[in-house]
This record gives sequence, structure tokens and C-alpha cells, in this order.
Amino acid sequence: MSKIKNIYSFGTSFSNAGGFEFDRKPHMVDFYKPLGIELDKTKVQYLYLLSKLLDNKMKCINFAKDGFGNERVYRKIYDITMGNGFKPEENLFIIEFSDLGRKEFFVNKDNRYGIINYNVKGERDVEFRGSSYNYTKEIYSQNLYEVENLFKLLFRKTFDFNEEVDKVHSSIYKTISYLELLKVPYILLEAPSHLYDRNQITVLINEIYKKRLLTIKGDKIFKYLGGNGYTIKHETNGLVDDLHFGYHANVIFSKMVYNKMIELKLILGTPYPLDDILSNSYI
Amino acid sequence: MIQKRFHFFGTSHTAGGGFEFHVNPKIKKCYGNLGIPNNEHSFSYPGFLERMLDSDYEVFNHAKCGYGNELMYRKVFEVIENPNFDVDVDVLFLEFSDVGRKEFWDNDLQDFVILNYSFEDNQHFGLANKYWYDSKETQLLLNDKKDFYKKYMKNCLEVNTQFELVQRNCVMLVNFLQNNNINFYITNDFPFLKSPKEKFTKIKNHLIEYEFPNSKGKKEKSYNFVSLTEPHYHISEETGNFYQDWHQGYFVNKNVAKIIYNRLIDDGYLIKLKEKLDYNEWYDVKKKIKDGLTLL
Repeated sequence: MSKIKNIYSFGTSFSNAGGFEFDRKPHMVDFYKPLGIELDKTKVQYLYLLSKLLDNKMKCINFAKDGFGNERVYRKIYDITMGNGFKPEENLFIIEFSDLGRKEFFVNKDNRYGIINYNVKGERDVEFRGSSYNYTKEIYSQNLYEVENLFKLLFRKTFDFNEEVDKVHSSIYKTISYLELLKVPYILLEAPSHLYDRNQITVLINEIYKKRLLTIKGDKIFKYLGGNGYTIKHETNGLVDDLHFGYHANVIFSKMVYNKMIELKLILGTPYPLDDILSNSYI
Repeated sequence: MIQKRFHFFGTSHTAGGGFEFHVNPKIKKCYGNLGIPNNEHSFSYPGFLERMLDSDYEVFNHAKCGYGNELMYRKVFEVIENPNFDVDVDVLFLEFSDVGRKEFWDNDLQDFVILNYSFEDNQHFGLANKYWYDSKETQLLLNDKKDFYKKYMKNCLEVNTQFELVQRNCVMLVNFLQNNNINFYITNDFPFLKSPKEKFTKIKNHLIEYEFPNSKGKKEKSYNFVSLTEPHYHISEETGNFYQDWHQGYFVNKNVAKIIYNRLIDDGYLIKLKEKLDYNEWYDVKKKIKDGLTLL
């Protein structure tokens, strides 16, 4: 019998069924209704699908948030593990680490965290894409707007691609080591591309994290699914112009996590064959 | 052949803050004739330790005045990711700082700058690339940016979130080192040891315990040599208030070095006889400084 009682997921919109905002995109309802699936974003998330594969025997809590990234992941992981009565062996963390392009900040006047999303344009140049407290429940805040403008200036003064990459990779190494030391079971849904083998220490850490990382045919799962037509856009034959992962990709995530749980001896069961997982005949 | 490389990280307390000989001639008048090279590192505790070691031991002082944990995280990774890093050779010494220090990359200077601030005191606000060494041009450039950073601080830095951030980063760094079998000491206490949240950190073995007589001569012990020795062993006291500075003076830095030296013997890094701690040296140092000043 599995010791795992709680499964937590952390990450970005990709772990949060981003793109499946049926309430804002009625045309998606027409496309997905024939599949007989529950037309609710929270019911498309891979964590929800995983909970069904596990017969709802484990409590599944999703901390992923659209637009947000690693800084929220570190914060939430620490908060949970430092909570009273936290028993590492009873918890599974499924983590989607993000790449650059996301900066979390705190707005004193509103007393809450927000996120800025940007594209890297050069070594010291970024292009802003937006900021929000919650992209799925947009609430206008003058304070947020002011802080966004402050950050636009801050980035101009302080952004350096290489420094940001160094911060991301050292933070990820620290987070992985933290979970290893605490003996918290974890699975990596995605890791950024900046984790190089630099010396004996990094080789060792990279070996550790690779054992926890989901891959398909040698590729990281995001790369594989993104490159092989598993996005909403592909799934809807271009009807919905959204490059978030489609429903089938979320099913694949849930089954790949399920298989990884078996491999890590967190549950007993029979793994789903990869060919069956990738087959999208029912879509 | 190098047996060990000792890497020190931290703030001015590790860098040798207060001993900026080039800034104020009063420092030279007080400490210039003690037979020690006149620079910050030589008067820091890593500097004292370096002089106690044989040549097959190397000391690297990565600490920097005004800077804090973010510099330490960065430098620790620079050291650890160096191709020559060896867990059997390299030993790290960490002096953690509290909230009130925030590091930024500066695109104009092409280097890091440090923002020093206080949640309690609005007047306490500094911005520097290298305190005591910044050129006039750099100072002017950074002065122009102060209002921006004040606005940033007012809008985005909040005491509880910053405290949590510092705590999390400290715990994660320590856990990273532990998990990867990297040898390290914490030279000036762990800022959050008293928190019930220390349950996972298991850091006591890495702490160094110091003993100094208090202002009444009674010996006291602590993992925090800075709080243990203030204000009665500050440079101000050591120089009879000839030179005002709140950093630890010659006496503290020398004895901190001796205590670390003895700990390294206890832990098998050095095969030597232990150094005797002579607390009466406080009076000798004070007298030497006073006599030197009298002769001027």
C-alpha cells in the first residue's frame, strides 16, 4: 500500500490546463463537448486526471498558476515542507520548472504577489508581455500597474541574461537538493535547458534530477509533445490559436506521472504502455 | 601540493570592515605599526587565519563590505562549479546576513551593486558597487539611481516577505551543501536557528562556538561572534574612541581566527597544536594603539 497521501503540483499554465478557459472561449466548448469530457478547466488539468487514475485515493492539490514560474514554485514548496506535521514520505511533489521570462514581485500596497511576463530579446533587453495577480480572474489594480512600470525601468537598469540564467540554475539545484535531503518524493514534469554538467557536483545533481524527469523517446516531455502536435492549436485543427498543451497532452502527463510513480515505487500497478499513451485515436 | 582551500563568504565582518586604511589616516595611526599589512583582508579573521597556516593551505576571502547573502549564494556557486572544485580540498565558511541588503546587476557599471536599507530607519539607505572604493563617477551614477531604488523598496519590499525569502534561501543553500557532501562551516550563527522551522536544517554541527569575556569580564559563549563582542570590542573601543567604527577590531578578529583554527584541528583539517586564547591581549592591543598614538 502506498504511503503517499497528498500529491502537490507546482508550475505554470502548462500544469494548470492553460488555454482551457471554456468560460471565455465558447467556441472551445463546441470542439471539446463531443469528447464527453468535463468542460471545466480544473477537470482538464493533468493532476485531476491523475487523481482519477489513482481512484481518488490521494488528495491532489494544484499550486500551479497561469503566468507564474519558478519563484512561486520555490516559495510554495518551502511553505508546504515547513508546515506543521509535514511528513515527507506521505507527499509527492510534481514540479514543472519554467525558463526565464517570468518575474514574481510583491506589491506592498495590495499585499500580494504578482507576476511579470516577458520575452528575452537580447543579453540585456526584454519585451514585456504583461503582468497580473491572476490571469484567469483579471482584476484591475492601479498599484499593480505602477509596479509594472517600475519593473519596466528596473529591467532596463538591471536585466542581464547570463546572470538570470545563473540564478535559475542555482535555485533549481538548491530546490532539488532540498527535496533530496528531506527525502520528499518528487517528479519533474519539466526542467529548463540551463542545467549544464560543469564539474563533479553538477554532474551528480544532473544525474539525480534526470531520474525524476519525465521523458518520451529521449526528449523532455514538453519538447516531445510540443514538437509532435499535442497543442490545443493542433488538436482543434487550427480552430483555436493557442499553443498550450491540448487535452490529450494532459492525459499523457497524467499517465506518464502514473508510470513514474510505479517506477519510483510510490505505488503498485501496471504501467501504461507508451504507444497506448501516445495514441490519440479517441481525440 | 595544496591540502585545503578555505573559502570565506560574508559581509564586512568577514571582509575586514573598518580597516579601510586608504580612506582615513586615523586607521593607519592606530593600526599601521602592528606588523600587519595595512589592508582590510589582513586585519579580517580570514586574514589572521591565513597567517597561521602553512603554505599548503590557501585562504580566499570572497566577502565584501555592504553585501549580503545574495553575493554569498553567487560566489558559493562560482566556487562549487569551478572545474577544480574538490569536496576533499575545498571548505566553505559562511557568514549569513539579515534582511536589509539587496543585490542588483547594473547594466551601466557592468557589475553588481548593493542596496542597503532598513525597514525601521528610512534614513539608512545606501547604494554602492564597492563601498570605500567607488570612484567619484560611480558614486554620481549611483546617486542618480537612489530615488528609483527608494521607490522600488517602498513599493515592493515588505518586511515579512523579505524575512521569509532570506530564511528560505539560507535553508536551501545549507541543505544544498549538506546534500552534496560539501564541507562547510557557519561562522556567525544561522539567522533563523531559534525558529521552530529549523527542524529540517540540522546545522548545529556546522556552527562554530565562540567564547569572549563580556564587558564585565565574564566569559560568554555564542555562535554569533558579532553580537557576542559588541559593542565592547568594537574598533571604537579598541582605539579609545580615536577612530569611530562599529566593526570588530584587531583583538576580536585575531581570536575568531584562533577559534576557527582550533576547530579545524578538532575536525581533522589541520594536524597542529591548538592555539591558546589569550584574552588579556585586549589590554595589550589597546595599550599598543594608545602608545602609538601618544608617540605621534
